[in-house]
Amino acid sequence: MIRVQNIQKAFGGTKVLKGVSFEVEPGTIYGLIGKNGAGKTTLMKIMTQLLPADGGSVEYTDVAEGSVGYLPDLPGFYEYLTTDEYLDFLLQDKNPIRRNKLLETVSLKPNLRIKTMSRGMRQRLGIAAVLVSDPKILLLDEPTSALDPAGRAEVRTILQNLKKEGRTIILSTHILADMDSICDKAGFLHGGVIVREVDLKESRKTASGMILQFEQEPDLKLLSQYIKPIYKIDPFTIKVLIDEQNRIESQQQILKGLSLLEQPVVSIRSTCPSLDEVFAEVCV
Amino acid sequence: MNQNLLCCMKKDARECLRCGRLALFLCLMAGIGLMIMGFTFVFSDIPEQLWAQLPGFNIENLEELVSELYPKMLRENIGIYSYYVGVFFSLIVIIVIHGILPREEEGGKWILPLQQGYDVRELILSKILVYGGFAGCSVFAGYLLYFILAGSFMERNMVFGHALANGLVHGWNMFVIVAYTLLLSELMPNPVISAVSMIATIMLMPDIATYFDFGKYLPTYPLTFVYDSRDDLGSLPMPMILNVMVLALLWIILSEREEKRLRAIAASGSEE
Repeated sequence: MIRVQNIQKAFGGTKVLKGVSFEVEPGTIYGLIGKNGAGKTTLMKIMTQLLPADGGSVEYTDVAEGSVGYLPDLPGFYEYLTTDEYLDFLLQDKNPIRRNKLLETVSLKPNLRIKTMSRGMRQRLGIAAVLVSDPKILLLDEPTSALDPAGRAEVRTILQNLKKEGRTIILSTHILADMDSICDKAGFLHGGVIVREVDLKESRKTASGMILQFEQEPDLKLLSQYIKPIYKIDPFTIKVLIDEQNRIESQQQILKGLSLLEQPVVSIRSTCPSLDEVFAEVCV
Repeated sequence: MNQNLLCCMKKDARECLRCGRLALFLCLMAGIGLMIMGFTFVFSDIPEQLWAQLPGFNIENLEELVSELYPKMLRENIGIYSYYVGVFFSLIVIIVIHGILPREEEGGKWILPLQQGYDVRELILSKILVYGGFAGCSVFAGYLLYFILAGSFMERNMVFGHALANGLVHGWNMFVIVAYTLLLSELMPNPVISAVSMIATIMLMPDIATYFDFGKYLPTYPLTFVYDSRDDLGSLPMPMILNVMVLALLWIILSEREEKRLRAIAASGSEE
């Protein structure tokens, strides 16, 4: 279990973190979401003791000391080494079997010069490097940023496999689609605090929105008088969010709006809210 | 030697070889050697040719000047070679290596090794030993090679043992120059300042120090020693010990600073 309590940090006169608190269950993936400059990297550095906090505490329970691995957003590598030489260096030349297993875990070949590797491959090598000491907790700062879709998919698969091995992962990224698909829980860091936490595991189970497809382009102005908030997917399709606290009333309100609109609906289906929508609501 | 330091040295040796730095060191030595030998060949004939073309032309002063600049006696000539190596080789080496450590640190290359149990001191010491070792060995090998090649056509007034000793001293000089450059690049706020101060010291100090009696106790004396092709080895221990002491002091200051930095981070972490 990771317990972050009231972490504060200021640079000069600017308070970047004003009391960040959250908890992460063991064996889960927690996503930290926030705009650029929200303090995600600062928080990660504090959690790995690379940066001292002005106040607050980070508590790792049931985890041996040194069992936290941190991968920065732009890890620096010794470019002239090959993948196996780099891992051998980190392993102090002691365990070639483990080196091969690590390369296998991140699907990288040995004898590959780092200088010639793509960004996605470097990111995977970074993950292998963090795994050298076999940490139970991984803090990954933007592991999928600047990667192409194939590279992102590879990293996502690796992270899901690591979760299956029982590791706890905290990752930050602004590519919310990645969070949506692999995180169990996501925290929105805004204004120096976690403004909202979304339990993605739960919300995947319960539908919290509706996708409505019309025969003709609907009058959104008129519709928004009855239904809020509305997200336009394409000219004929919209998405509306349902207030989970007042689910029945919320659904009735949508139906009432549709009947008043007098525009034929082709289909109605349930969906859960995407992180993009929550991000737009709480961070923008 | 501890395992971590050995692994760091292996990594740095690969860097030095694959980035072509050892090749650069060797090429520099060869280039300077060929230049001095070539100049000695070409310039030493000029007064005689002038005399042949212009009978009655007073060549005494010119001969004196040429023999001073590029002497035909091996001992004096290898002194000139040592001087050019001391100035140009050092200059290039300092320019090449002064940014290595700050670039590695700023580029985040130390984060993952430090997480896996390496120490900043090991990373720095390894760089000093490998780069200093390669530079020193290049100079030593270049010096001996020059002695053998130049000895084949110049008047030999220097024995092999003398050349061997001076080659070792000049190799040591280069090791020390590399060590100072790397340590100062981490200690000073800007690595360019450390490079400029090192270049200024190497260019000016040996000449200035020869004017004073106490010059032979200064850390730059071993440079003057090989420039003059001296053989009084007894005068070397004092400045060499001084060099070791200054390097050790810089090393301690740097280690203390790094320790303090790590302790501060660890302390604030445990207080949380």
